[in-house]
Amino acid sequence: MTTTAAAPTGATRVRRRPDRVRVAATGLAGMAGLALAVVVGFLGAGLLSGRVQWGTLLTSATWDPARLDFGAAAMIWGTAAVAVLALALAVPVGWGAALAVQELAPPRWRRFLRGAVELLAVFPSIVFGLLGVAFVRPFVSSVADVPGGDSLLAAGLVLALMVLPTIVAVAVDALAAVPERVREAAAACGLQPGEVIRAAVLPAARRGMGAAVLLALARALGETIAVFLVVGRADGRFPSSVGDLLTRLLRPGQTLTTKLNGPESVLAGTSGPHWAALCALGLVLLVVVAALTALGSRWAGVGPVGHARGHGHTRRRELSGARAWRRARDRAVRVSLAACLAVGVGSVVAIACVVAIRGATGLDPRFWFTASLGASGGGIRDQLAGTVLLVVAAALLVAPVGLGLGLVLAEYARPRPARWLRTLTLTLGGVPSILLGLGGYWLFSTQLGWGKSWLAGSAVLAVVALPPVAVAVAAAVSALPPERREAALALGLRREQVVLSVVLPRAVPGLVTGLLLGLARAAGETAPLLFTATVFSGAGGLPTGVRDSPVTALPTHIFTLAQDAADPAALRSAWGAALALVIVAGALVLAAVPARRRMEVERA
Amino acid sequence: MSSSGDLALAVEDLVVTAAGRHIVGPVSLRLTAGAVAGLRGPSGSGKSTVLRALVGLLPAGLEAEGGRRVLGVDVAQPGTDLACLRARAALVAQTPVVFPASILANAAFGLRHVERISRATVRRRSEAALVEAGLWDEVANRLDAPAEQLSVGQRQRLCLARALALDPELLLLDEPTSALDAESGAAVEAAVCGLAGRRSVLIVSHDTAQLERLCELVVTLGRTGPPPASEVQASLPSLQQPGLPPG
Amino acid sequence: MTRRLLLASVLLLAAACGGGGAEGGDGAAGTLRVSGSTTVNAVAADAAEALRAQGMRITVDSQGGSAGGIAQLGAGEVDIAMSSKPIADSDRTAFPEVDFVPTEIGKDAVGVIVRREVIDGGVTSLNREQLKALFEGRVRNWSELGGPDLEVFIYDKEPGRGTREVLDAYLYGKGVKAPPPPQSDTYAIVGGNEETRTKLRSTPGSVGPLSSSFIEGVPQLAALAVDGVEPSPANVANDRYPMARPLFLLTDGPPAGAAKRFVDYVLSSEGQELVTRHGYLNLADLAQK
Repeated sequence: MTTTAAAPTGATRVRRRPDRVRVAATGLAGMAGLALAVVVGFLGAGLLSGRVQWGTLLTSATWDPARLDFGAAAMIWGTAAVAVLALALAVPVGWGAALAVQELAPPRWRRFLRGAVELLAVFPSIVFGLLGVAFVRPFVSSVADVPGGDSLLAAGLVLALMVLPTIVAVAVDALAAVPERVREAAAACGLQPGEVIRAAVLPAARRGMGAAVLLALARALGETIAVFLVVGRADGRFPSSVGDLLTRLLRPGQTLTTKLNGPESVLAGTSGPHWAALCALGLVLLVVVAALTALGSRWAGVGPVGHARGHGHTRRRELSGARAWRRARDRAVRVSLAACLAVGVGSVVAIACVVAIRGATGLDPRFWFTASLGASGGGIRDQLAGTVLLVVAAALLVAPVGLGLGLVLAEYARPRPARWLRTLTLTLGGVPSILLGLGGYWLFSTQLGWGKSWLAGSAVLAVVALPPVAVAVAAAVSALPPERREAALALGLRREQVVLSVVLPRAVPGLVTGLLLGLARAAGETAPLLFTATVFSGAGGLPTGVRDSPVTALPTHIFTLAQDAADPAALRSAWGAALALVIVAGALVLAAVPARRRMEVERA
Repeated sequence: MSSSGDLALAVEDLVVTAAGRHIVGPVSLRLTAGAVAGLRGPSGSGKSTVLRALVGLLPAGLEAEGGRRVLGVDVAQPGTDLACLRARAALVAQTPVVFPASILANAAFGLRHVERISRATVRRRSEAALVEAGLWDEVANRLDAPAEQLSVGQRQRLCLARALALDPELLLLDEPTSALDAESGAAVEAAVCGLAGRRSVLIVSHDTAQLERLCELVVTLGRTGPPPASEVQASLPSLQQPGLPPG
Repeated sequence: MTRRLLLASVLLLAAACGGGGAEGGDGAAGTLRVSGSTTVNAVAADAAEALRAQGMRITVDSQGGSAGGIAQLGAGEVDIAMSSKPIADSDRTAFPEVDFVPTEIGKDAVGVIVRREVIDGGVTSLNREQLKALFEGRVRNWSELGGPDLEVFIYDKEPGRGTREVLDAYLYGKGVKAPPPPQSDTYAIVGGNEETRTKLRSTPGSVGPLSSSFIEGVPQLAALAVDGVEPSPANVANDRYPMARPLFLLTDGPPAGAAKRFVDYVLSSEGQELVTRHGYLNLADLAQK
C-alpha cells in the first residue's frame, strides 16, 4: 500500500500576501504625520520667504512692522511671565489637591473627587476668557490698582485655573502608581500619615509630579484665546530692571500666542519679512511647547522611581520631635492638603454656577433655536448648527486616522519605535491650537484657495482631536489579554484576520471614548476656527459647497460677543452661548464616562 | 527588661471583615514579654491580616473587631496614637521595601522621624541595628551606597534593621524568609534567634518547620471561618508561662 | 444605532459638500464676500441681513479691520472691502493689478473718546499738539491738561484699523509713519469698535479713538472737541471737524453682479437709513451741507 503524502498546499511554499490591514493602518497613521508636517512646513516656508534676523528677534523688545523692526523679547517675556504666574498658583494647589485625593480621601471618594477637579477641563478656553473679562479684569483692577485690569497678572490668574486639572490628573496618576507596600513600610516604622507622604510617597512619585508641571507649563504657553481677552496686547513692554519686573506684571503685555492671534497674521500676507517674523515666533513657540510636552509625556509614563544618587543619611536633618508636636504638624499638613482640594473642587463648582446663572438665557430652548442678531444678541441657532457640523465632520475625519494610528502604536510598531511614536502623538496634542489654525489658514485658505471653509475648520479640529483618539485606541488594544491573541493565532488565523476579528472589536470602545473626549476638546476651540472657517455674519444655515463656505460656531460667537462686553444684551448672549457650549462639551465628556469605566473594569 | 507576667500582646476574639464578609478570626492569643511566638497557617488564611490588624495597618475596606492590647495600648479604641505605637511594635512586611536612599538612610528611616535625638545617636543606633539584623558584615564598607544595590535577602535584613533601629519592644514579622533562598533565609533566622529574650517577637509563616525552630509557641489559623474549638491553642496555659529570662 | 448615526452624518456631510467647489469671483455658488472695518460693518451686516431675506447669499467678516479688508480684496479673497479710511497710495502699490474703486456710503467722525468724568473735570477740547503728547504717552495725568487728578490710560487701536489711521493722519500728516507705540505702562491695544467701547467704559481715565457714533446711548463716555470743534453732525458734514472720514465700500473695478446689487442697496434710501440708524451721516446729510 502506497501512501502518498499529499503536499500540504501552501504550507511549505509560504506566499506572503501583504497584510492589508497593516498597510491601511500605517497609511492612516501617516496622515497624522502629515498634519504635523504641514505645521512645521508652513512655518519653515514662511521663515524662508523673508530673512529673519534672529539676533534682533530674540533680544530686541521693539516690534514695529511699519519700520520693519521685529523684536520679540517683550513677547517672550510676556509668555514666560504669564506661564510662571499661572504655575506658581496652580502647582501648589494642584499637587496638594492630588495628594488629598490620592492619599487622604477614602478610596470610595477618590474617583469622584478626581473627576470633580478634572471637570475643569470640560470648560472650553473661551469660557475662561469670558470669565476673565467678566471677573478677573475687574478683580485685578480693584485689587492691584490697574486701570481696566488688562495685565499679565490677569492672564496668569485665568491660566492658573485652566492648567489646574492637568496638574491634578497627572499627579494623581503618579501617586496612584506608587505601590501600597511603600506606604505600609513607612507607616510600619511609626511615621504619621503626613510624614509617610513626604518621606516615602513623594520621592517615589517625583517623576510623575514633575511631569504634571511640565505638561501644565506646555498648556499654559500654548493657550491663546483666554489670554487674548485680558492681557492688553500691548507691544514692547519689557522690564527695565529687576524691580521693574513686578510692576510689569501689573501692566498690559503681549505673548507669542496673542500676537499670532491678532490681525497681523492676516495682514502680513504669506510671504515677506513681516510674515517671516511671525513664522519665527510660531517656530519658537512650537519648539518650546513640543520639547516640554515630549519630556513631560516621557516622565509621566515612568513608574515609581528608584534612586540614582547616593544620599547620606545626613543629607537633611529631618525635623523630629516630641509626639504632640508631630501630631499637631501632621494635622496641619492634612488640613492644608484638604484646603487645596477644596480650592480645586470649589473652583469647578463656582465656575459652573457662574456659567449657569449668567447663562440662564442659554437654558431657554428658544435661545437654542433662534437666529442671532449680529453681534448684539439673539439666539444661537446658526452657531449651534455650525458647531454640530464642524464636530461631526471632524469626527468622520479623525475616526479612521485615529484608529489607524492607535493600531500602529499598540499593535504593529515594535516597542522602541512605538515609544517614539507615542511621544510624537502626545507632542502633537501639545501643539498650540493657534499654530494649527494658522497652518490650516495657510494650507486651505491661501494655498488651496478655499477661502473660509467649514471643511478646513473641520480638518483642523480633527487634528486637535487626534491625539486623544489615538491614545484611547492604543490603550484599549494594549489591554487585550495576550491569551486571546494567542488562541486566535493558534487556530491558524493570519495576522490580518487576528487583527480584524480579535483586536478591532476591542479597539472600538476605545475609539468611541477617544472620539468623545477628543471632540469635546475640539468643540471648544476658537483660535483655529477664527482663521479657517468662521465669519462675523452671513454664514447661516448649512453651507453649500466647500470653498468659501464659512460657518458660524459657538466658540467664535462667544469670542465676538465677549469683546462687546459693555453691551448688556451682548454679554447676556455670550453667557448663554457659553452655557450652551459647556453643555455640549460636558455631554460629550459624560457620555464617555460609562465607556471609560467599562474599560477600567475590564482591565482590572 | 519586662517582668514576667507582662503581656506584650493580648488579643481576644479578633475578627476581620470586609464589607460584612468574614475574612479571618476569631483569633485569640497572648504573648508574654520577651517570648517568641509563631502564627501558622496556609496561604490565604489571613495571617498577614492579623498582624496588620494589631497595629492598625489594615488595607482600606477591612475592619477589625475584638480586643487588641498591644504593649498595653488598646488598639481598638478610636483616638489612639497608632503612629506612636508602631514605633514600639514594629512590623516587617513580607516583601522588602527599600526607599530611594542609601543603606544607612534606610536603616535610619523610621528613627529619624520618631525621636528627638542627635544625628550621631541616629547613626549609632542604625549601625547597631544593622549588626543586630545580621547585615553589618556585608554593608559596613558601603553604607552610603544606594540601597537598591542589595539583593533580596539583604533587603529583607535591611528592613529588619530599620525596624530594630526603633528599639521596639515588640517585633511583628510577616513571612520573614518566604521571599529568600536558603542561605539568606538562614541568615535572617539567625538574626531572629538573637532577638529572643530582649524583645517580644510574633512571626507569621506557613513554614511549620521554621516556626518550630524559632518559636516557643505556635498558634494555628484555619483556612476560612473560625477554627474548630479543638484547634485553638489560644488560651493554653503554656502561653502564660514567663518567657526566657531577660538577657 | 451607531450605524444609523454614521449614515446620517455621512448624508449630512454629502449634502454640505453637494454644491461642489464652484469657481468664480463670487465664491461658492455665488456667495458675496464682504470684509473689513468694524465701523462700516455695523451697516453692512444689517444690509446683508435685508438682502438675505431676498434670497442673496452674503457673508460679512470683520477680523482684520480696514487694512484687513483691503488686503483680502487685493488677494482676491473677498468681493467687497469695507474701509473707514480713504485708500492710500501704499495700498495701491501693494496690489498693482487691483483697481480699487471706492464707493462712498456715508461719513463718520473719529472721536477722541474719554470717560465722562474727564470732561466734567475740565478737559473739553484738545489741540493737535496736546493730542500728540497724549497718544505718545507723554502726558501721565489728566491734571496736566487741566482735568481731574486721574491717571491717563491710552487704548489705541491695532495698526491697520481705519480709525487708527485717520487719527495718525491727523496727528502726523498723511503718508507719514506714526512713531512706535509708547513705552508707558498705561497703554493697551484694542481691536474692533465694540472692544474699544467695552474697554473704555471699564477703565477710569481712559482715552481712545473710536467712531463717535459708537458712544451713543453710553452715558459714561463722551467725545472731546478737537481744536475747539465738536464732532457734531454739522461739523462732520462740512469737514470742520478735522477727523471726519468718509466710509467706503471698495471693489476691484466698478461694482458688478452681486457686488453691485449690494452697493446699490446700501446707496438706496433703505440702505442710507441704516447708515443714519447707526449714527453716521448718510449721503443725503452730506449733500445738504
